[in-house]
Amino acid sequence: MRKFAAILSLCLFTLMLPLSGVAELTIEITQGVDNPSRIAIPPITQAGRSLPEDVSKIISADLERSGLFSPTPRRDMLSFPATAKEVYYRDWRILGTEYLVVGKAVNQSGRYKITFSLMEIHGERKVFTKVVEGPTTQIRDLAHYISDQVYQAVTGIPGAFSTRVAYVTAIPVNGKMTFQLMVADVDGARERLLLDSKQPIMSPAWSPDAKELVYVSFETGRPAIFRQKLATAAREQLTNFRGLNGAPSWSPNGKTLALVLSKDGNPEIYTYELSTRKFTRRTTHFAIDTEPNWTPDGKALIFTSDRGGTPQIYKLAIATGRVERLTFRGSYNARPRLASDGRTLVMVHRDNGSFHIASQDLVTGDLRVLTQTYLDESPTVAPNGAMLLYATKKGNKGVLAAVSLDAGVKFLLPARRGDVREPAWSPK
Amino acid sequence: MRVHASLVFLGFFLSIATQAAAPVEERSRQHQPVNTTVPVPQTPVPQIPEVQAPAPIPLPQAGDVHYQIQVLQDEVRTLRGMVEELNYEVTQLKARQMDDYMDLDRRLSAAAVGGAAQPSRPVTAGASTETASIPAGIPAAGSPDETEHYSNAYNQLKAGKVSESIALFKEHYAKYPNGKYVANSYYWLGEIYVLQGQLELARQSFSTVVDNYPAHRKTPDSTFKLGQVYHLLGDKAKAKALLEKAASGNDNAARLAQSYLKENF
Repeated sequence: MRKFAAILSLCLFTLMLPLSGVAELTIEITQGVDNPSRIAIPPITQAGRSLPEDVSKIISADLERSGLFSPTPRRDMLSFPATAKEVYYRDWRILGTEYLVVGKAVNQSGRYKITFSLMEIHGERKVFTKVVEGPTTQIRDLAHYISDQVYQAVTGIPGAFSTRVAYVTAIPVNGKMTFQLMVADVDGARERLLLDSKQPIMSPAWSPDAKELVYVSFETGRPAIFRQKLATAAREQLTNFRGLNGAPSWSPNGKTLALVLSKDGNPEIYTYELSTRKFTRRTTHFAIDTEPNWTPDGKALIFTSDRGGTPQIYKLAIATGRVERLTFRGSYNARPRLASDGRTLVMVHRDNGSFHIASQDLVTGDLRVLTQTYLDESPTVAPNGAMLLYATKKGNKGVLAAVSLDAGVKFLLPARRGDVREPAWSPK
Repeated sequence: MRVHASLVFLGFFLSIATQAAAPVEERSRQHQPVNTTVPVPQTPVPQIPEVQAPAPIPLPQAGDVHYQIQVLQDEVRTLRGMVEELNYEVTQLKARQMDDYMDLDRRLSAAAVGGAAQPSRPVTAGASTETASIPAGIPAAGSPDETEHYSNAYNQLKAGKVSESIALFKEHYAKYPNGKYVANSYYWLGEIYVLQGQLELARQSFSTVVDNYPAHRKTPDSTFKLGQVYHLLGDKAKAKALLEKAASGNDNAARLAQSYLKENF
């Protein structure tokens, strides 16, 4: 199945049109919730002087992208308060604003310290005042931190604006495909190139500390699994078996990888102890077993297998080796990922002949198709479990798209050039 | 799947190929002793013993075994799938039966204790006092019940279950008369009535939003829609006044109203 996917993806890559420009991701919101909370974020400055990045604009964009907030345009604001004391609630009530974030920055020897408050307009009260500080180079991180705090205070769910996403782009250069492994902030900014290859790169997955990636690269002429540190870009080849070496997934404690090898003749799930470099075969079935992923407690693996005649999702308890089938609706369920609650399963589900992303509640068994786009694949859930990213097609271009787990909010992250695929949302 | 199918195919092909090739070779071997004087340069010598050694029967048999294993494996997978699915259904049925039994048991014992004492009352009462006692983090967001009730109604509408959503929207404003989503409920009812061609009901719903919630975010949309409804009802003057009011804003409804005015007046 993996092999199939690889061939399929290669075919898809060759369909692309050459386009010029930078491959940075941009965001188009396609569907928001019916009643987003109105929030205003006046400019956050350093005693009137602007900061190297427009912090309040970053926060507005973050919150708007969540679909749960509708930011008040800056040109409509009657005043730009910077502290809770300077707020005239009447000014904001007129605009219909429900929440207000005010803040001011201080520069202390190359570090910014931002003091910010969240105000609730109808109740005329301050919800909190917090302080965040960091080096001038990380001003975007400070902005995302503020977004996280505001989002959590209003919705009760931790924010995921400080996270990153890894993905693979395929760009035609002089008629030949170039594959790039990229990491960017989840808002698409600060895109960074990790690996550039003439051969396909697939299946990036994060380490639990979000400091490393594992992925499959065909650079040696056949698929092999590599690990790479983000900070130093140092990399190491982990596998070099005949046949498939694919779909690596890092265990929650960071000590073990789950992966697929076909060295014994048939695609099977193995675990690989990073410290001892020991492989352990976990499945023994003549059917194809692939796409392993850990449960959040690290005690079990979920994977795709066609041992029941059609591709379905199974759960394997590591300690006992007991296998249990999880999906029963539809003739195709694959590429499983569990949200951090360990209960919400997301996967690629075939529904009336087309492939969509669906979520299934493992306790109640309720299945819900979340997307309506075409040829959806590779779902990856945000660490807060509120949203997921997936790869889909727009025109004949591969793009990333996001959908909230309640299917209320949807947006696209099209790249300006080339195809984007295989997103992996960082665990923090 | 693919891989298996192609292997089966290969097995077939091999067995046919060997069967087809064997007779030809054998015939040419039989001819040889007759025409001893004529050398046969085109048939290379080492080929004959090679074909001779493995008699034509064992090879197809090996292919057969392989083929049979494939067939059996496919069969086992199909059966396994069926067993898994049946097992799941049985578990589901058992759970449902248990639920039904518990429900029946509860009703019976309630009836036995206090005649027609409401069986589910204590449960809901407990739940509602619990939610009430939780300190609301930020009040204006609407109580969770209220929000949930409204989004349920809205989701029914999105799912195309119109009659259910009408009932739920009506229930919503009856249940939460001072709630956050009352105007929204009237607005969506208006939209539904327009679609159903019940213009008088639509007029009432949109008027409620426009008259009672002048500052609500659904009001510009409602003004535009109300204008449209009056236009459809034939009251051109009222329609025009409302549409012009809606068109004077700077939002989506204003743009819609402007183009509607341009097209119809």
